[in-house]
Amino acid sequence: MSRTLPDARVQAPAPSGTGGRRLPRTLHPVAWWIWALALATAVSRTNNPLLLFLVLAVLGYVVTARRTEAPWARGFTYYLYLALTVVTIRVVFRAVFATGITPRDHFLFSLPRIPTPDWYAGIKLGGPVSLEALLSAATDGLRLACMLCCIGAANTLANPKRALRILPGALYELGAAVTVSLSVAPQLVQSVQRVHRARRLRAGRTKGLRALRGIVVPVLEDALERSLRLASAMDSRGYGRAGTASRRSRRLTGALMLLGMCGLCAGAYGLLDATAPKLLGLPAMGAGALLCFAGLRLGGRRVTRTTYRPDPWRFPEWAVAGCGVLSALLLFSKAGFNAAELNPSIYPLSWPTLPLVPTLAVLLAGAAGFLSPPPHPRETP
Amino acid sequence: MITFDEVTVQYDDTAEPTLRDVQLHIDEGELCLVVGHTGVGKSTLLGAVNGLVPHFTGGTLFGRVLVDGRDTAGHPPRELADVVGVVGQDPVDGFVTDTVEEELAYAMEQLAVPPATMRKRVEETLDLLGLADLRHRALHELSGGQQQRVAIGSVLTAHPRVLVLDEPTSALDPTAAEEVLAAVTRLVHDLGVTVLLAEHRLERVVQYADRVLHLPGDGRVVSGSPADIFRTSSIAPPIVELGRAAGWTPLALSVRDARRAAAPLRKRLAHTTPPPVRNTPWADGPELLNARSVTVTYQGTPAVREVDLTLRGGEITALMGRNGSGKSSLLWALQGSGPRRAGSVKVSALHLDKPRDPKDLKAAEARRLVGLVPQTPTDLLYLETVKQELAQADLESVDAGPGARTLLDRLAPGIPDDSHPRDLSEGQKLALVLAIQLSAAPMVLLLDEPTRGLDYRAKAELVRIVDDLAAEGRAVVISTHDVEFVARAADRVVVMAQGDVVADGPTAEVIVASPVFAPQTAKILAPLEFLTVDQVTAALAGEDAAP
Amino acid sequence: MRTTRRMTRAPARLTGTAAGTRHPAPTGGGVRPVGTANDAVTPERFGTTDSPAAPEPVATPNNLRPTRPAARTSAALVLTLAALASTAAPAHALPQPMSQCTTSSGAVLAVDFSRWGGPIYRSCGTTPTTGYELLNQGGWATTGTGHDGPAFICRIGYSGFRAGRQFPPPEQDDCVLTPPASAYWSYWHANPGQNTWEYSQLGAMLYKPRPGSVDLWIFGGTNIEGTKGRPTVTPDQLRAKNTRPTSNRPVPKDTRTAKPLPPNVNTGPAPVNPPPGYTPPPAAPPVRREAGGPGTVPVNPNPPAVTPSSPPGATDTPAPTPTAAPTAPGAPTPASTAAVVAAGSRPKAEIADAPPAADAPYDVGSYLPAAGAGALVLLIAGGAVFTARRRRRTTESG
Repeated sequence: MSRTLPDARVQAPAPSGTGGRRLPRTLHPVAWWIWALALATAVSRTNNPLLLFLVLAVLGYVVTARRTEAPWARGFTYYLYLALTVVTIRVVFRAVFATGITPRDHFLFSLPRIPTPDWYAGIKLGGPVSLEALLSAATDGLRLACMLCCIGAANTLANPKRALRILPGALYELGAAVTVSLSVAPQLVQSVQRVHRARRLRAGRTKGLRALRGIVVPVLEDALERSLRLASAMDSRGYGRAGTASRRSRRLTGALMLLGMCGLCAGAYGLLDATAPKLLGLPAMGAGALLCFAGLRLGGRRVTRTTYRPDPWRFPEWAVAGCGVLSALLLFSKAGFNAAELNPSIYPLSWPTLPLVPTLAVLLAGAAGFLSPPPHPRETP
Repeated sequence: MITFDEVTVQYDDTAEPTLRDVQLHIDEGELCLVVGHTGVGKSTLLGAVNGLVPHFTGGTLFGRVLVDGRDTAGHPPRELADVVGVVGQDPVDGFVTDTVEEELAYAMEQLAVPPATMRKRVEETLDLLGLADLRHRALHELSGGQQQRVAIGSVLTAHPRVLVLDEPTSALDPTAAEEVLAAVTRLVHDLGVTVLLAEHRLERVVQYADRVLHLPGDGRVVSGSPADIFRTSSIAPPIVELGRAAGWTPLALSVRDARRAAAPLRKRLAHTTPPPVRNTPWADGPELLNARSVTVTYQGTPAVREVDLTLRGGEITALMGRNGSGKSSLLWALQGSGPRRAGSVKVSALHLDKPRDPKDLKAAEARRLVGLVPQTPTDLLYLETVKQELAQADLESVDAGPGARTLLDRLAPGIPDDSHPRDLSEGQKLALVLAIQLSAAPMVLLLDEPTRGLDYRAKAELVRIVDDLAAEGRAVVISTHDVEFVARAADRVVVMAQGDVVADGPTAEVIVASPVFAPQTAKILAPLEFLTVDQVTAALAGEDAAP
Repeated sequence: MRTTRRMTRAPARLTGTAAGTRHPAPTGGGVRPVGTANDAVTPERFGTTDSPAAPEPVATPNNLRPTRPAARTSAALVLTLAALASTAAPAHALPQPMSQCTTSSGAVLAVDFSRWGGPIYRSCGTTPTTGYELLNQGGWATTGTGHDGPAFICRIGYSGFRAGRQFPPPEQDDCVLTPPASAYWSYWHANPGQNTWEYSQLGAMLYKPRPGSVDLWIFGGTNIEGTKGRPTVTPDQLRAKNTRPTSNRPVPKDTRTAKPLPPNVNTGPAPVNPPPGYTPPPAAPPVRREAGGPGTVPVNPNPPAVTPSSPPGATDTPAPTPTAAPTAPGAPTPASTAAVVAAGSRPKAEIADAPPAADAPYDVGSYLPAAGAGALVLLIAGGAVFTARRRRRTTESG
């Protein structure tokens, strides 16, 4: 594997400001995913709004510092909007599906009560709304929003198509479907805009259900044709070549993977649900993992692909993934802080505290912003 | 290299086989041009080469197709990827990755080419196709010609022995098309790649072809040398028609050969004034549309800069320019449905007492002033049958003019009521949308790239249609890359570049002077001001009749 | 689906076929991950809004409008501050000493703290009331879950037990998501005269105890079929046996620290069917029964002490009793065998009266950590802005 040609990327000048300490390159996508998922796991532990805001700030910093200029790297704002929507919906739902109010709570306002039939007595619509109810809904929503933003950060920082490459050959149908949808989705947005604009040409309605048909039908037909063309192009270019594998071995691989995935799901369920039979927990998880591993090995034997400029796994990858995992471990360890501080009381209302260890853990995750190499500077056309 | 042995292809939904008993052998290193009208099975023939037909498209293939000794029956397209490379009409549809370099490497990755070899081949291909400066660029930022070259490069890296190109230049402007075709011929000459190329605009490619496969439309495939095939084929580029008219043997196929052969013809026509391309009864029609300083910007980037344009009744204007020069933006701004940052548009009509700006009117009113057929006409179609679409069109334009059905029958007779709009041919779809737009009886009609994907026959129909529309006193604007079409159809040409109007004048003046935009006839007969073969035949006929 | 769950586990049965799918009890905890996933998809179902409102917990409907995030944030802060500083006033449902509850008036609340080494506390409240109000007056307090809100009782505390600490403590359950079916507070009722427990079909906020009934909260793994984790005490061991209030002690001054609800606020439907022919008991001369101070004085767990030395006619309750024995086979008959059960099978389950007490003091905490966190967030955001600027400069110059 001799290098016959100089690596143009390595030779690209480092942007001023990094002092040439580290050369720009893209971090392995898996490293970013591990980091983000670990951080999301850490977030799932806490309801403390201070920590959650800190996580959001850290995510914002890392994304700003390390995202590339590629089209998929510009989407973090949308995840923020989505997060905001989650919080809003949580709050509105808590206000509308009233959870009641006691004299101890801080009354804010009262919504008109909508009577519900007897058979629906379990649900109250409208009624008094307390500050506590809204705050607890908001912090709960904020936690979900933070987890969403973690996933968003991973999607922004790591090229989704490069991340798909690690998909084992055994799952190539899935890979094809995901690649097609990833490519067609942005075009779908464009064609919606195009068709919507074209509606005016026929003086068609641009609002309402009938207009929807006038937009949806051409757009979907367009999208379908595009995805078929893309799929045929991928096929023509050798995607999913079976190589030496026989049909039987492919079926076996598929079956093993499917069973393994089922096992993993059942195992996760068993572990999370305290009432599930013990047999469902770790044993199912282990069996599932084993089946998946066997499937991957079997599928991997017929590997017929190589990678152009494979992303290396070097120190920055270890560092970034390590940061994320360590921060999750710290939050789960309960070391050096009171677990109650992660979920500050809202009934009765009290100021949240900022426990030191979890704060440091979140900041540690933010260190990924320094530990990863800078992205490629944008090349001006 | 490629052998078709008694191949018959039958799709489930058609009564007649698309290809019938095709017996064909294509040698290594040939550039093979596939010609035929729309819908005669060109794409089926090309798809059969790498097994997309029938593995991907469905249908039944009888007989055998052998490519480099491999039978496509036993090898799906992905197993033939190292032998056959396929490039489609719209390169964007085939892109799997995000950057040029990754796209070039994609096929090799699937073929398990060792990484070191991959690096080498990517660099070679970048140089071969002149893409080295673009290596890290995002694919969607490239121009159409660059994209198509990347698409070709991305199949070339797998070192295929056969390259199949299905209308690779139909979406490109003349310059970009030249770029792509130059790259293709270089591949044939330097690397000995066998190329199968389907193309509607034969004038662009006919000179490079070693062999022509003609599909007359009955399922047969006639193979022969270009000079032989074009002597009789129903499809021919202007250069061939000129040769036929002048009676050259053998037929000249490149402009250079034709100029040599045309010396006597030029002498003969030297003192003949070219008859007008079009009879324009409305020599000086009323002013229908007056646009002043129209400016369109997208997120601060100007797409159209302060363009002034006046359209007169009975006049056909061609709007030309590179991809992205602002043609579409200008048309949409004139219609009032697109964004317009500054400037004014005033449209006169019989039912209005004074000229109005369509942007200030309701969509239904604006549509009575200016009709626009967008680049993708199917964006306007959403119902199940032609009849429903036409009925809907009549609903949308109350008491405006003749019914949409009448209009459609005038434009393209014989489209059945119950056919699905999406099943129509490109030309029929265009006619349907045109009929829908004409049902509002606008006096100004704008057509955005209507010639894309049309074959010669459909283009001739379009020429007739716009001729008729102009004869009714309408002003017609057609944006197009097709020089030959412009030469035959337009009275006036407006050329745009980077949002500015850089040339505006009678067709003869504007396009004859330009090396890029000049039609073949003009190139061959220069300095004589002949634009079309029809002009030459008319002049010759007049000369024959005179003495 | 979400809202059904917001109550207790019980409403599933009440809502009949619609909720039938959620019925299987053992998976009660298992619904937890599903619920989370459900929340994650909610935004998609409702589409995204472009409102650039700050992700600050928003307080009033006005503030839901996506304008001037800064103003909104400060408004919410001020409101929170004001709320934290607000003070007390009386309201309509009242805590009572245990002696004020009779067979036909007042509702008895019993909470089993035996899991944490405590007794089964009993206290009394006036009717009409809700299960939730009973649990949040006279020194009692509850915590909901972050996911379901306060209506899902996750923790219960009494200021007279372990200084008002709420159980289960955060180490055992963080009360973020719905607790598992193996460890949660289950809610049981016994109507007047009934000696069997009925698993509550309604949440604490919706259920209106009848006068003379007993509400019991036990912690553990309970399924709603009642085949597992049934209460081990009988209603008769807990309910008031006297027909008249036995104490002339005045009702203690209300000790709660919150302002009353506004007059027009309706906290729920009218109380459910009072016993037929029920009339409020006449104000009888109270009988002094137990020397209970305002603090916690666990009563002698021996049945004779618990079973009031009431007049012979005391067991004549207005409500009929015959259904009690058949539905609970093996359950001891009232009064006579209560001693056996309480003293014999569950010697540890002491029963103690919990007189109305002041709320356990709680610390609203300091705003300093919040301010510190705010500063930290601003610092990081500043860093992000700086990095973005530098990047843009580099790009433009490059």
